[in-house]
Amino acid sequence: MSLSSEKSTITAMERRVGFGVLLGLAAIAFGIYTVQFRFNPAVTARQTLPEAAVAQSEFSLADLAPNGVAPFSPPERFDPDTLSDKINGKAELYFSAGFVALTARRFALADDPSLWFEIFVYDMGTARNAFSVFSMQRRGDLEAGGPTVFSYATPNGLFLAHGRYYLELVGAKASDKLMAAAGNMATAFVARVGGDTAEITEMAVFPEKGLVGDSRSLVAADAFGIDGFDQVFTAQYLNDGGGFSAYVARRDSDEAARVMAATIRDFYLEYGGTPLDGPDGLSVIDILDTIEVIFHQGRYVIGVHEAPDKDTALALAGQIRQRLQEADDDGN
Amino acid sequence: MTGINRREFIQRSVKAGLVSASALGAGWWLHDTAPPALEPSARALAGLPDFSRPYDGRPAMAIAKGTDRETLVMRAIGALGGMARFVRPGDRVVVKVNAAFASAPAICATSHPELVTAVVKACFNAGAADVVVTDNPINDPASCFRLTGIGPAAEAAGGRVALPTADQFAGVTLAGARLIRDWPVLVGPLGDADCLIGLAALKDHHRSGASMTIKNWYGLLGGRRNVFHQDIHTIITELAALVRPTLVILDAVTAMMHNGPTGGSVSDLARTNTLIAGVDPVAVDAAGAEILGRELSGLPHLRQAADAGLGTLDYRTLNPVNVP
Repeated sequence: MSLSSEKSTITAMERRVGFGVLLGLAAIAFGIYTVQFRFNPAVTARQTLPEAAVAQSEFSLADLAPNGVAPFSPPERFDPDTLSDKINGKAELYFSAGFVALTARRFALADDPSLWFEIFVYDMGTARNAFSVFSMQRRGDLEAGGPTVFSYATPNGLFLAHGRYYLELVGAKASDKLMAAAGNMATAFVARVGGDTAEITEMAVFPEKGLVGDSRSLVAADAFGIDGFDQVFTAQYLNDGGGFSAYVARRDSDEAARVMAATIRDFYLEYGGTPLDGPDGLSVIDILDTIEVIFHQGRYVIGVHEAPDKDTALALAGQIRQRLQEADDDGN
Repeated sequence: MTGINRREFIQRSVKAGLVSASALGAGWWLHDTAPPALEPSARALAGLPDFSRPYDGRPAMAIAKGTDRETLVMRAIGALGGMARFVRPGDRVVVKVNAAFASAPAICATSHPELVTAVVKACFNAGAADVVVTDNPINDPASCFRLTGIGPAAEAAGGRVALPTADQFAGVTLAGARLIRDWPVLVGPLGDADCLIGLAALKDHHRSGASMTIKNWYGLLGGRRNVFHQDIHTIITELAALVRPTLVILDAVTAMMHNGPTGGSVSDLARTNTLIAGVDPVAVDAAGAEILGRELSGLPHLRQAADAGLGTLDYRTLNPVNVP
């Protein structure tokens, strides 16, 4: 029997049954494929006391220790699978910002071992990510200062972003002597790595007038409660005693920026905002007696959040737009 | 089927047989006869012993104000009826501290050594035969107990530090639980204990909103427990059901207000000058949440625990004793 003649013998019922069987098999295959990823952690992850990984960084932190400072513990290195073994519940903050690896080690003053500090070197993959975790954890009552543009000191700690790295140097006590040693080590690290993070365009477009010092930060995800609005640089402003903020976020394309700006506009309208007249291309919304301005320029989404009045919001938005133009950076 | 002769039928049957045999053979060849190795626990334990004491009419909770931890804890426990209410002569006591991180006491990420000393001493003064101080830290256990000062403090007061070793864990299943099912739990120190005292520090927590006395039981879990961070409120609620302590103590003399649970800077801390002791962990944590400035809506595990009948969310209804 030839193939063509064989086909002609297949009845409609047989064809339906055949497709039914194939669909059933496909459903079973899909089910197996899906279920195989649902491991029971009680069975697959019962390592009760995992050993700390050995440091594998490209350079040894011990080599950066200044005179009079000696290693106090073995080096440790953690990756995304093991970061929780070091910092537990705070690990998710780093995961959301693109964490790559952590290298940590304790050092003590040779003449007083009770004075020790631990250095945490978080490799965040990019300077943006490093600045994100730096800004999200920035403490109040901080003292500016340190070896990089983005650094600050507390009585027992030094915190800084440098290139793709976020560093914490945490002292066991609030000691000037100890923190001086930690500062020297941070400086040595910066010298070894080179470069800095100040070249991020979004950081440079916030006008200085009215800007609250050290208020620039990077929100890694869901800024202002808007799903998908990630990697958003924000800055706080003061105007006649009232506070408001501005934000700038770069998207992958002009179209993505346009869609994001529309999403933000719709978000505020959905929550009761009233659209106001504004310049072409700018959405101006009155919501709860504050003003939102949203627009996009090239790959950038730009906005002013909770401004006290329309004029103030539009003035700041215009300044940011002008700065972006001056920077000759449309994100492409 | 029509139009098929005997020869074709045999040919097709042979082909179908070969395909089936190939599939079966491949399955047999790929079959893994060596399943993943399990911990040597033949059978999961059904929960943990209940260390709580029957209600006897005495105060359920005391809130002490001040700055000296030793003084505060003695006053608070005194207001509850004294340590003799909880520890009987000859009892074996387990003190579950928070030694999660190998950080200095000044960071306040762990139980304060002064408080450990005071509680261990109080247990012995009440007639305890043995006081074991334990935890399953995040970091290397020996370093954690040493650098936090908890180990030396416990031993200085006559207590014993029980570091978690693999043989101290056993699979535990909590009836009706979704997460604690044949999960390794640090049961070794609890095996012959008569009393269980939880000693927690009041802290912000990036995932759960706050770390207090119930969250402190997280340190009894073994395995890759970080998987529970994805469902943090459920696991804390289940811990509230799993662990029924004799007494819990929440150290809020200095609270970690931000950047918890690890902190790292003394600027994350605030002097809140309070210590809370009680027999109802939900109530104690509800009071702690106020000090930390957290709304209960942001701590759903407390409401879930209360709804499950594991404690009292409105702690004021317990008429806590305020100790000046």
